Amino acid sequence: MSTEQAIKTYREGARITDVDTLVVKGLSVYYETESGTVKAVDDVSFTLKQGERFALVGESGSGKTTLAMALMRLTRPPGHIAKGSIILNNRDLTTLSEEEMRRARLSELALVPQGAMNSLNPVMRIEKQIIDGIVDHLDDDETVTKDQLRETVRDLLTRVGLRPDVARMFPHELSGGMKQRVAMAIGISLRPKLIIADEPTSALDVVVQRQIMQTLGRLQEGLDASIMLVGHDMGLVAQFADTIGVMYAGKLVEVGPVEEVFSDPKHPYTKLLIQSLPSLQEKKDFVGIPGLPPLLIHLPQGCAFEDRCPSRFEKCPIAVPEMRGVGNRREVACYLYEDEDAS
Amino acid sequence: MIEQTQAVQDSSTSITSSVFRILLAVFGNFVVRRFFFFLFVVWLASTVIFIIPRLSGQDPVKEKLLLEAQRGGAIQQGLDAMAKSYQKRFGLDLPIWVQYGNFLSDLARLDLGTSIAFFPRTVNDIVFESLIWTLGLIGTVTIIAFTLGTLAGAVLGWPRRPGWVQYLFLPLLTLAAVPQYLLGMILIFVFAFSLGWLPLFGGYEPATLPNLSFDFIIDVLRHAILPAFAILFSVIGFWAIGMRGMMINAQGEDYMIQADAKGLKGARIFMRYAVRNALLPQVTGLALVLGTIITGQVLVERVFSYPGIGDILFQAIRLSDFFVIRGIVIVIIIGIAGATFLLDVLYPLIDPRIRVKN
Repeated sequence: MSTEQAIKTYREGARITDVDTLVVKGLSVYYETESGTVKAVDDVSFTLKQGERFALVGESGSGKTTLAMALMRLTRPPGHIAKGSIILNNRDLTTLSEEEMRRARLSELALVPQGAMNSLNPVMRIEKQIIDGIVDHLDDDETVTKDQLRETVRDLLTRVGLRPDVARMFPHELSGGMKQRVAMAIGISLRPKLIIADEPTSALDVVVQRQIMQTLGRLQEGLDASIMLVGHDMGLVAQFADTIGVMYAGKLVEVGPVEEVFSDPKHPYTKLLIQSLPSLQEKKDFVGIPGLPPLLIHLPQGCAFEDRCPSRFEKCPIAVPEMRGVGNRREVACYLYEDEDAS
Repeated sequence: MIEQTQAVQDSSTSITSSVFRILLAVFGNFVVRRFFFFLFVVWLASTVIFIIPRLSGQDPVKEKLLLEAQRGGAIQQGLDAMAKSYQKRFGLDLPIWVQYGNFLSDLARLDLGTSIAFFPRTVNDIVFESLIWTLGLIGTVTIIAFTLGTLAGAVLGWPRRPGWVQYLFLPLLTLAAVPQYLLGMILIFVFAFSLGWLPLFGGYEPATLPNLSFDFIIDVLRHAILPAFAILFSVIGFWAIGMRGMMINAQGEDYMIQADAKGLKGARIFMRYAVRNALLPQVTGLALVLGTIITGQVLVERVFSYPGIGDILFQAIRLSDFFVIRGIVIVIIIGIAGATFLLDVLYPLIDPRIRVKN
């Protein structure tokens, strides 16, 4: 099975320390609409250690990107962070003022967007787009010369594997992969401790995807930063991440080390998700997950996956299952594991 | 292109190949290509203007003389002879191809002919004199309106604007919908007629002659205030609404989200990311409008009896002064084609995506 192959390529020598870089507790992002409250992200909690690669997976509309944007505090109205805390390096981002939060962006946590699309300003040279982020984070008494900035840009571009003369180019003169590299150069320009990569390889071809992910991993290790990868490409996630979080209908339903989750998925949704992956080794029919996710505006009283779940029982529709520990560093929100010892 | 050049080099003498290369260099140049296109447009439109009146079967000179004769009483004697002599004077008795040739050579020298109604004044004189007034008033107003309107629209389309700014939108929208001549008449009634603060009509005091003295300039400005505001109020709204729409569009772009994620200062995101991109279509609009200001604002100039080109056009149509009408139309064509040419040449400077590589 492709998943087994993927686990074999799981990286060695990951330098994960016991320092909590990011602690998210009960984070909820709600959209207030005329027909009611849409719970795009509901009561999500997880922790990222320094140097850890955490991948957030789930189908479209499950709240992955909303969660990523909420961590940057870039949720736009009518959406808002309704509850919870985002503790980055022992500082709660939800309590910061707008100006403090602005300064934290890029310098403490950086977003690497889907750079292959149009996340770069079309009328500005690459150089200028790297520099402006640096300049806007200088302290009042700090000064940098143009030459120093040029040198920084040259260095950053080289580190992401681009020629230094890309600095003088405009975004439309670059290929998708090159734009993605520029997006990474911007992301690491102030040596953040957390990199949020929101589907950094979508719209790129498979060969470029691999190169981009390798570069991203190298950069992250160089900075001793943690990374949160948002994506729906399970194969990519399996090769890249240390830990995986599965989202369904705005909730985190399973978290655990990537190899364990792939070899022994606990939540019925995770099981079906992994079964649905195509395999290189054997020829078989694609297996989908029957049914559709619930509307986030009319969430059922009980488990959101209940009506699609093959292992549902009488307890499921009554109340939302809580996340509970099942084994080493593993958590799952499912009543099937209620009686297991949370050792 | 390279293959072609090589083929030419192989098969021809060095002279033809170098001629070919020079031609390629000249016509390969974007600006030169656009300039020839500009000349082509002017030629084509002028030709249409030459042909259409001749298809009507009417004789501008005879029409004019008949009109005069009717006004002056029943003296019809010698009308035909007079018409003949005038036709000779205007070259209308020549074969049509000769007329066309003369027309084009006159046009090439920018000689627009002679007025019939104000004979023997030349159309050039009449158009040039009025064009100064029109460009002075409407040109200035257009630039001011563009600047203020775009600025207002940019702020209106910015989510982090101060709250009170939104109250600007409704008045701007309303003023944009009021016809300029109506606004002009209201302004005349209130400020010139009732209050008597400003002059009722004209470009300057009727008793004075245009000169560059301080008093005269003040007088010109006093006369320009009401027509300027009549145009300004409605045009500001036009630019503001367009800019506001473009700003709101820009908010949804990925680079705007990324600008926020980069932790940039609000002022930089506003100017360098939002306004800079939203401005591009506005500039296109400005260039096209600048091309048409030569037309003048016929109605506004009429309401204020302003001595601009719009007023002259109105009079020329009333007096069926064919050559003046034709001259003004040609000036309009040159204006619009020239503005398009300038836009083509200058636009790459503000939008790198359409820079042409030779």
